[in-house]
This record gives sequence, structure tokens and C-alpha cells, in this order.
Amino acid sequence: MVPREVGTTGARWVYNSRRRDQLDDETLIREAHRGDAGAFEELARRYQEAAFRAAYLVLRDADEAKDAAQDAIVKAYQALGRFRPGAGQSFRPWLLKIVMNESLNRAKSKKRRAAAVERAARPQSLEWSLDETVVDRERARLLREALEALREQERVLIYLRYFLSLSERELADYMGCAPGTVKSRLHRALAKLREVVRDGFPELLAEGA
Amino acid sequence: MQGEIDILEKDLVLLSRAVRYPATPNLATVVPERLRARGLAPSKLRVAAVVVAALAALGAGVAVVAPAREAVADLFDKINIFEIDQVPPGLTHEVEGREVSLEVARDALKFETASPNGAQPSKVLLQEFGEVKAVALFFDPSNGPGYVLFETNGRVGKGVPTGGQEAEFVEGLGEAYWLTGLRLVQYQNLYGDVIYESRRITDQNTLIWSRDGFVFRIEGPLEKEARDAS
Repeated sequence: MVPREVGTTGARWVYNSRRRDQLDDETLIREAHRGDAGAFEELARRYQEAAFRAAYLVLRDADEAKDAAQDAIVKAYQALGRFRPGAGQSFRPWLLKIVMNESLNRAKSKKRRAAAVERAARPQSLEWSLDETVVDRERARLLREALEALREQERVLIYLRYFLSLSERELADYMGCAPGTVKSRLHRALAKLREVVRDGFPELLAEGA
Repeated sequence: MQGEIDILEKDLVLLSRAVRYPATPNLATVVPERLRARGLAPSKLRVAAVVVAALAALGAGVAVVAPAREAVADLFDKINIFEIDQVPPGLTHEVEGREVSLEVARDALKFETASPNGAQPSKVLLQEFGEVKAVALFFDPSNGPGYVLFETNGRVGKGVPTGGQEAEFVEGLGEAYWLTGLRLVQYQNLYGDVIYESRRITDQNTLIWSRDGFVFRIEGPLEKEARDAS
């Protein structure tokens, strides 16, 4: 691993990993900066689920999401020198921004490839697997289609806030703006979603639906 | 309008809870492999004829052996050579410790420190990290460059830059490695945890080996010619 630790026995490695679990992000990042072999790996382990899920939300394919998340984590490692925890940056939104960029780029490439072979340029159908005991299938389908009609940055903001549960502070880090600006952008994204729904999926707004 | 937005927010929350994500793959262990695959592969150990004058003076014959291993050094569970992408900035080159007499150092370490040909060090620094203790013996021979002999009961880690240098694998007192170039040095406790306050960097040529459960290393401007001449 780069940083790579070699020459450790398995038992010792497990022990070290357990101890790193107890370190906060800032300490791990500092140690990763210094070349600690396991520190970045622990960070990756800590946020791999968020990274993978973010990629999956965009790409809707487990294999592609895995590749995107992996590439993003590699890029994050290579860019770690630009991350500034001392300036109040949080690692999760910083990593998720790299993941989202990677995933969106892959999604665009995929769409271009599809167009090149003269397949329909319409958005792909969503393939999220859903627990239908939690949500009505038809409402879920309509809402997903409505989300697809949003601009990319609006849709991503909704994914981050509602699907990945980023706090407003983390969203501010992600967007590089003040927390107050997050509120207004989020409100604008929801207002835009409302417009899309009113125009194309009005049944979503029906009382008692 | 706000009422409709509230409905949509509620639906978004329900939808987010309903998504069944595929099982998260283990990215943390796969990513380092991909980093290596992108050209950051470790340098290979190579056969090298390395004879260090100071080691010879300690009574050790050093023979070359074929490095039938990867860029890994895990000698007697005491010496751990690992790879780092970048030598950490901000660490000191200085050898820090409490200056003591050789006798005090020997008492603290609870083992008999070795000295090349029984020479007296010009300075002795005692380094204490809890149970892990080390001594740094500074030698200034009149007929050669000065060097530092480190002896410790702890584990020693050496972080070598990936692709930046080669570690030469030699055999003398069991096994030994010859390291050159800028790198990280750190002690580890008895459980293998890094002792962060022990960390420093060095660009001095180093021979490191383990004997009788202790780790020895010599740092200094030792040249190949000097080693060959020994």
C-alpha cells in the first residue's frame, strides 16, 4: 500500500488497525501526511461506505460504483497534501466531492458512449433496489424520475443531504461556501424539484398520496 | 408552496431509507494495491556485497545472500522496513535523548551495549519511550568518519520512499539491511505500535540488524569503498 506497510506480521497489523480505529480523522490525516502506512487505509475504511454509496447513487451499478469509489480514494490519497484539516475542513465532504466528481464524469462518459452507438440519449432508467415496505413503488419511481430532471448540481445536493445525511456544515465544506448559503441552495433545489413535480408528476403532491 | 416542499422532503427521506445499497466492497485494502499498480511498486531488493567496517569491527562477518524475498524486511520480528510515498516533512534529523554515561545507559537498557572494538563513544544519548529504551553511541574515530551506533530493546521501523532507493539485503548477524537516502525512522513498542515521539528522519547510510532480541543500527557517512576495504 502506498503508504504501504510491509514486513508486519498479520497479528501485529490487526493490532495496529484496532488502535487506529480510536484515532480521530485529523490525527489520521496528519499521520498519513507523514507517511504512516496504515493511517490512510483506516480513513479509507472509515469512509468507504459513504464513498461507495455516493457513487452508487450516481451510477446505479455496483461494479461501476466500486471502480469509481476506488479511483476517487486513490485520487484523494494523491491530493491529500491539499487537504487542510487545521483550517476546519472535514474529511468526509472533501472525499465525497472527489467521489461525486469521479462518478459524474463516469456517468457522462457512459452517456456519451451510449450516444455514440446511437442508443437513445434519454437518461438511463434508475436501478436502485428499493425496500417497498418503506416506500410506495410508484411514488418512488415518480420521485426518481423527477430527480433525474433536475440539474446535476441540484440533484447531487439532494443526494448529499437526504441520502448521505451530510450536515449543513459538511455541505458548506463540500460546496466551499458559508453554512447560510447551504440553506438557500438547498431550498432552491427543493423548489426546483417542486416545479418539476408540479409540471410532470403532479400526483406526487396530491393530498393523502 | 412550503407545504408541497414539505411533502417532497418527506418523500425524499422515505426514498433514501428505502434504497437497498449493494454490500460495500472492501476498498480500503484494494486501493493500496491499485496505487502500486499505477507505478508505485516497491523497489526490489537486490543482491549486494555489503561489508560495513564498523560491523566488522563488532566481530560480525557479513556475507551476501540472494534476496529471496520482496521489498520486505521483518527481521526476527524486530525490524520492520516499510514503504512510504513521501518522506514526512517537518521531522527532525537530530538524534534526541538524555546525555548520560555509558554505564547509566547500560543500566537503563538492562543489556550489555556493544562497542566496536571496545571503543569509547564520545557521547551517549539515552532515549526512553516507556518500556522501549534505546541508546545512541556517538563515535568519532581518528581514522575515519564519525558514526552513531543505536541499540535498543524495541522494534525499529524504517520507512523507505517507494521507488526512491534500494534496500540491500545482507547476511551477517543473521540478516541485515543496508539503507541509503532520506527515510523515516521510528521505534515501535512491544506490541508493534508506532511510538510517534520517537520519529525522526535521516539521510545517513545505515546498516540495521538484529541480534539476541535487540536491534542495532549504524548511521554515518560510511562509503562503499570503506566497507569494501574492511
